Amino acid sequence: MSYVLTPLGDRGITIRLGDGISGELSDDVARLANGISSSSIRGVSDVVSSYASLGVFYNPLEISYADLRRRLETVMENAGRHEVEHAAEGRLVNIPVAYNGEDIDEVCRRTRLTIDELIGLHTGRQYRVFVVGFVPGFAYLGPLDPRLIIPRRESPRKRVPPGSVAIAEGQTGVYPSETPGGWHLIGTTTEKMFDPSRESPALLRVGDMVQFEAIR
Amino acid sequence: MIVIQRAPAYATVQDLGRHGFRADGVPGAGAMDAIALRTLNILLGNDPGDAAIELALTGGVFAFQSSSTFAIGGAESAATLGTSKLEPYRVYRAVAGDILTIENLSAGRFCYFALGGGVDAARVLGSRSTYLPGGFGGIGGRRLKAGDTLGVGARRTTRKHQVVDSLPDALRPKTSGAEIRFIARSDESEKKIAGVYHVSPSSDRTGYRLEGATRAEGASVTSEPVCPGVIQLPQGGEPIILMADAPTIGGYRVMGGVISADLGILAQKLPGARIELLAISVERAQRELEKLAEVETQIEEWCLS
Repeated sequence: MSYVLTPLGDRGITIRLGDGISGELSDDVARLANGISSSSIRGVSDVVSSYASLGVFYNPLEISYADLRRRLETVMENAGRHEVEHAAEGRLVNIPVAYNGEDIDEVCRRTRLTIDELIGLHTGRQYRVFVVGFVPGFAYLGPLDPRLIIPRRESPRKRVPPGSVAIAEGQTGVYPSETPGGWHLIGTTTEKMFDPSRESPALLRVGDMVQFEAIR
Repeated sequence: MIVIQRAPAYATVQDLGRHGFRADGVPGAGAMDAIALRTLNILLGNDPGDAAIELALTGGVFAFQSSSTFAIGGAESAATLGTSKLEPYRVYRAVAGDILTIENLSAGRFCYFALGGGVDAARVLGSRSTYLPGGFGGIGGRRLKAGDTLGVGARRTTRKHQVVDSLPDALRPKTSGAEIRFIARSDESEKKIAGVYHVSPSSDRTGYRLEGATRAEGASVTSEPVCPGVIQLPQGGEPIILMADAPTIGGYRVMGGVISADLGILAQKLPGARIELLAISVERAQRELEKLAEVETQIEEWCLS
């Protein structure tokens, strides 16, 4: 596995496995993140996955940069050898959606699809969770069917209601809380994407797969 | 218990932040000047991570409903208990009916009002810190307002003398100095970001924007995990340093990260303040953090002497 490992300040290490967005890279990242998490390295509090890189966050008074770097290099050597052992344990999460979003007519017009075609395409495949971030519990899902790809809204909304199902560029997602947002709203779900009172507060985690289901 | 009689413009309950939920997209939040909070907690005989009130922009008025020890620190202020003037980094005892007034925040942005036993808010995801953008933690996930009643935790200290004198300057958190040290990413040149800047007025708990030397190499990149202290360089070429409430991932080019020992110093810089970003090694940053831990031990010993 070729990679770049660099300090991220004095409490983080970034491991970059490549660049861009692909399922293959995402698998590599999820596998490595699992390998690091299951090594339970003392002083490490968080392992965060993104599209092509991951961040390992630690307490430098419990483990030094040099020691952590060595531990991570060992995990990476092993991850290369025992790919099956560290295979990402993703779940399949079903999310019911009412396709009644404010922008659905505009999206249909711009993509030249009927509403039924749009629903068919959006529910027609399982999406990978690439990243969770932006706000707590916001999962970036993809890739979208190419026929659904349109740029972000020219002027972002100041407030997007929680539970809004949205698309932009090659990705789709659900707004977990009321935030500003520039994605096109195509539907709503009652599923709680983020709940700080849950043990695992975000509904979706990197490595999970998502299936949207149309409800009437 | 204390009651907020006049709320500061921007006050929240903060401890040292939440850990272990960054993969869920949950930032740490926590005190902007963690060293000031830790110092106050040690003076009070608290756990260094106990929660306190973080005040920004303006002062406020607080009424004690029961007796409690307390101390203030961080940004300078004019504080009084009734009619007596208070010094920072000194433990006082208030009794029921006492009124604490904090006014004229100066030489810094964030002032801390810490209580013996700590502010007793419910823990959310392991921390009492308020995360305003997410609306959770602290008191209802919001800023404090007039009429709020805050509980005080049970005292745990076994220290004989709970009221300690004013902490010597040498043991107080460093606040002055323009130098902010950072660790460059190993795949980026430190020269591209080191240098003199001014803190922009559009800076808050999420991030501090820097003005001054515009750097040519700013860019959007595939989003990567980030954390407080990370120095981003967007297309415009003016760096942003991420702070306590920053999101867990970011899509701008990452140049490096400010060291933990200097993050509180940066947090206290007012808009317009001149700073100089200076590159150091990760080993040196670690030694600076160990030095701070030694100072904390000295403060504990000083409290007992």
